Amino acid sequence: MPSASQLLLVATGIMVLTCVAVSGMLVYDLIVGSYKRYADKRALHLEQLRRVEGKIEKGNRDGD
Amino acid sequence: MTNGLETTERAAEKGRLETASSLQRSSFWSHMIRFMMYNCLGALLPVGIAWLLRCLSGVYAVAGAYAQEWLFFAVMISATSLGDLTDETNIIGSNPRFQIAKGTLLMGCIFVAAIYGTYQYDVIVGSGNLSFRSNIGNAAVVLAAALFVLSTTVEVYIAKIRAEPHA
Repeated sequence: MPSASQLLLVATGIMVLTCVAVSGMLVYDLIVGSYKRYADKRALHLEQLRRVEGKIEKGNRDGD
Repeated sequence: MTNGLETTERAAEKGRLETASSLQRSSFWSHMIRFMMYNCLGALLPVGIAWLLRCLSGVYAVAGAYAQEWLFFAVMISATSLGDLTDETNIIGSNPRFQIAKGTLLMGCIFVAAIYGTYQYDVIVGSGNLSFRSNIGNAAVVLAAALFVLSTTVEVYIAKIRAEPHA
């Protein structure tokens, strides 16, 4: 039967290893530059927002 | 593209849409400095104040005395990164990397809260087990360091996405 401190040690170790692994994955993405595709998606979303805002403004002007 | 535009238009009609100006590009360093100043330094204030008070009053810090402050730091920075990641996922859509990072940050928050609960239980019930508090204090510092590394990496990732120049 493991003691409470052993359980705490194991749980903390698993948590730390998970954090390090996920950080490593993100750092790898940053190094190889694959984060850029998300930046492209963001830019597309921004462009769509601008177009919608333009339409709304035009509609408001036409309404006036 | 057309479907995306129609979806955005429907969202705009329902008033659930962020404005384009609120999603403008931000510089990498402005995002990181904001994170470091308002979140990391802000979350470290309780540790600093507790340490200062102990120094001023000359009270010896027993083992695990700063466990609560370190756990607060860990939960605050991981919750901030979780929020930023959720905001970004709403814009660019879900993807496996963000889901894994969000899951890990959420697991970190829950684990830290559970450790805080056991620490408080020990303080309230008063078991007087010094090795228990000492172990919790060590675990709190290690967890805070690990979650700081993960949160900073996530914030760097988000800052790079937001700062990426486009044609």
